[in-house]
Amino acid sequence: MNALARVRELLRAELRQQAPYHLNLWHLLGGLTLFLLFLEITTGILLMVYYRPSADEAYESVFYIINDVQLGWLIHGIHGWGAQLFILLVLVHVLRVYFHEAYRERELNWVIGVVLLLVVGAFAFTGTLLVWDQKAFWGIDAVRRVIADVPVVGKAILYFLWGGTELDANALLRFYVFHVGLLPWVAIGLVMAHLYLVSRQGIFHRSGVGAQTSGQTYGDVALRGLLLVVLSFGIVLTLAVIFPVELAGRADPLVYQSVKPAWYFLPAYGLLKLVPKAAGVALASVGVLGLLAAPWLGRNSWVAWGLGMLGIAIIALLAAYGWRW
Amino acid sequence: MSENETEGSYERRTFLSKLLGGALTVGIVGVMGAIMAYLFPPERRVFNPTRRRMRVARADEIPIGKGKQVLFDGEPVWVLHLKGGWIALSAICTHQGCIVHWDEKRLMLNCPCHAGLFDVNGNVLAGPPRRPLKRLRVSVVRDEIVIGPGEG
Repeated sequence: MNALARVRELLRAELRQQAPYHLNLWHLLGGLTLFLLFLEITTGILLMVYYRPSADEAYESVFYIINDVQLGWLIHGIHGWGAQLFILLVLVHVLRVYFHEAYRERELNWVIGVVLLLVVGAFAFTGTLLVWDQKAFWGIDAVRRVIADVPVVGKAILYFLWGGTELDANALLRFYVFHVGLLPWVAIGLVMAHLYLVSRQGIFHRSGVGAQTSGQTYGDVALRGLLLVVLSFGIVLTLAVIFPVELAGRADPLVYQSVKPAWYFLPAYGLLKLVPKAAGVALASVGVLGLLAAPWLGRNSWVAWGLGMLGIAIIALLAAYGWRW
Repeated sequence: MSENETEGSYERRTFLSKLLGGALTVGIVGVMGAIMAYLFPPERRVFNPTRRRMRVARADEIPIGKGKQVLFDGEPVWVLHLKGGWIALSAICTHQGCIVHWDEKRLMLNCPCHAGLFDVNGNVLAGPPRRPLKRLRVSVVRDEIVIGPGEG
C-alpha cells in the first residue's frame, strides 16, 4: 500500500507541474495517434486468436470471427475503423507539425515521423490482404502488377514482399508476418525514439520564449487528452457498430474484380492512372523524399508555406482524379 | 478566499476525481468483459477445419456391444465397441443420406428410411445402398477413444 501511495504521489507531483502556455489541442494529436496504435495492437492481438494466415482458411476464419465469435464483428470493426481514424490523425498530425513549422531544429524527429507515416501505410497495405476476400485480393494484385513493371528492381521487390511473382499463399503468409511480426516492433521502436526526442527537445514554440505561465498544469493537459481518447474511442465504436466491416466474398484468383483503393491510397492510384507506371513510381518516390527533406526545403517560412500548399493541392487533385476514374 | 470556499472547492475536486475514477473503472471493466466474451469460442460452432482428432469418450464409458454417436466435422459418426476392438463408421447412409441406427442386438446398422442394412464393418448386407459406409480412423489413446479423418 505504501508503494502505491508513493506512485500516486509521484504522479500527482508530475501532473501539478506547469505546462507551457502555448500547449493546446493541436499538440495532443500525436498523443492521440499513440492511443490508436495501442487500440490497433490490442484488437490485433485479439484477432490473432482466431485468424489463420493460410489461403485455405484465412477468409473462412475472418468470416467465423465476424459471424460466430461473440463480439467478433465488433473487435474486427474496431480494428478496421480504428485504422482509418489512425491514418487520418497521423496525416493531420503531420500537417500540424508542418504548418506550425515545428520541424525546426527537430530535423531528426521529423524524419522519424515521416518514416512512421510510411510504416502506418505499410500496416494498412499488409493488413488489407489478410481478410483474403475479392476486394483485398484484387486490390493487392493491382499493386503487384505495378511493382512487376518497375525496371531492374521490380522482380526483386516482389520476391521479397510477395515471396514470388504471384499473389498466393506465400504472399499471404508474408504479409501476415510483416503485419503482426515485423511492423509492430518497427513502429514501437520508432515511436519510442520519437517520444524520447520530443521530451528531450521540448514542444516547439515559434517565439522561443516559453517562460510565460498561463496557470495550466500537465494535469489539465492530461485530462484534455483523456477526453480526446474517450471521444475518439467513441467515434471508432460508433462507426464499427453503424457501418460494420463486410467481406466481399472469398478471393478467387481466376475471377477478376475491379477494386478502388482505400481513400489514403487514392493519390498514388491517381498518379499511376495519370502517367506510365514506372514514371508514377519514380514520382511517388520523389514525393516521399521531398517530405523527408521538408525541414531543409522549408528553411524560409514563406517557401515552406508555399511548398506545403502546393503539395496538398497536388495530392488532393491526384486523389480526386483517382477517385473519379 | 474564505475558509468555506476552500472547503467547498476541495469537496468538489474530490467528487470530480471520484467521478472520473469511477467512470474509468466502469469503462475498463466493460472493455475487459467484452474481451473475455470474445475469447471464449462459441460452443455451437467451433471453427476447426483441419481437425486432426476428436475425443469421443473414456474407454470404460462404452461397454462391449454398445455404440456412441458423435458429430465429427459436422458429420454424424458411430463409434462402436466390439469384441475385436473399436470401429468408427459414418452414420450417413450411402443411399439417400439418412442417419443409420445401431442395432445392439443384431450387431448391425440399419437405415430407417429404406431399410438398408450394414454390418459392423460398414459393408452392405441388404437394401438399396450400393456403397459401404465410410470408415474413420479410431484408436485408444491411453484411456480415451479418439477418432480422426482417413480410412480406418
